Amino acid sequence: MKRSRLVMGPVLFHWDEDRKKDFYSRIADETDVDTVHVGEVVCAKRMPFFDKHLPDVIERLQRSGKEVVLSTLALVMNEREVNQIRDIAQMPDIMIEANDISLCACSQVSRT
Amino acid sequence: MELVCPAGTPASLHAAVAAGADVVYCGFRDATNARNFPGLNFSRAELRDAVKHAHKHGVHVYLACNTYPQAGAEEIWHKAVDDAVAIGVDAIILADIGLLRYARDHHPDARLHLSVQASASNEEAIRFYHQEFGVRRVVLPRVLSLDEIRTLNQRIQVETEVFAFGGMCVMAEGRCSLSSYATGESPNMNGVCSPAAHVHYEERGDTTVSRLGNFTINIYDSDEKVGYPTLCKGRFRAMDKSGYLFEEPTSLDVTAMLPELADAGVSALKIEGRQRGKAYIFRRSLALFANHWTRSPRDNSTRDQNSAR
Repeated sequence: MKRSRLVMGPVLFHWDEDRKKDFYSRIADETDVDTVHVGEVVCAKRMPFFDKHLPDVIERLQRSGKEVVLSTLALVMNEREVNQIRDIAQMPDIMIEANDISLCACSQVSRT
Repeated sequence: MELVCPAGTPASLHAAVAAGADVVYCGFRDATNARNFPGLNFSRAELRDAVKHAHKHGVHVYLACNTYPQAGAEEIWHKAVDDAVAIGVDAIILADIGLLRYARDHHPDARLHLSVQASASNEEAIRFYHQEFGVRRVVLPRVLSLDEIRTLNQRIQVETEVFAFGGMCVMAEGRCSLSSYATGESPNMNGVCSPAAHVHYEERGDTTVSRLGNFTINIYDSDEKVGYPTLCKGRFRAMDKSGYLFEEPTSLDVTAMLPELADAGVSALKIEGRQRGKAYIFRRSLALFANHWTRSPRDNSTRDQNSAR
């Protein structure tokens, strides 16, 4: 019988950078979670604080055998947010979770 | 700009037509629309009569079919779309992607509008719905600013419809879970927000307490007007703060900005409130016309030009 996979969703809370970094380190080192979602879902204003840590967090999780999925904004409103998801849609080699239809639209374009 | 008025009942529809609306929008008497309240909405026969009456006066009718079909019961929503087309409404307002696909596949000539419940708040999303399903108009979320609306209209191919008056929802429309958290029913799936069946009022000493399900939504002093316990418009305590933590119970009124909205390229103004009485509709429409808005006389040829299909 195939074992069920355990997926951890994105952090929805407004945690400071250090707390989030430590959290993901512990998830990488101490858990049996198969897939981990990272990325900002709730508020675009939080992104400048943690985005710079994402590459390291992703690498750390992947090194400990976890699949990483990049979750994205649930509501995309202004120009800056639209540009952010356009950039994310271009990212290669990572599974992206679309929480707003606009990301699907951008992904369509980047594949043609 | 077109004036789009709500019609919760045939009587309201008649009032809206008499008041000079360009369009009236309504729903069937079931869970397929987001105002599924008791005593409201139209049977198939009533909608047929309503469309006949409206068209006789040069007024268009849109059918709101804007909730998300329940898995296993999709045929209820499919039938609503089929019947709306057969009856001859001028557009169907949809939110669910699967239902948009159904409408596009089965009724390629039908005019489809994107409901505010789809929360299409940016140009990429709007373009997607236009390209995939041929939507001709999008009802914009109520949280967009005038600048954002102007920019959108410059970049998209579809018409925009903006809420002008009535209830102010600041949530991600079509995705809010507050009502289902408290009562198990939501506007998205059941067509009701903060449903009446879960409302209680209680006198407690000098105060009146309004409750929704197991939650206290508000406590009113004797000198305060008691309101309906819409969940997000209550007063709550969190940490050391208490008050209207989600939003103030204010409403929307854009009558002061009608010229700016026209400049921003908006095609239609929508009055919210199918659950309100016909006197409200009549008064609000007249207020918009009389105070701020000059329109050229309504005639069929002008209408056909404006709503180019």
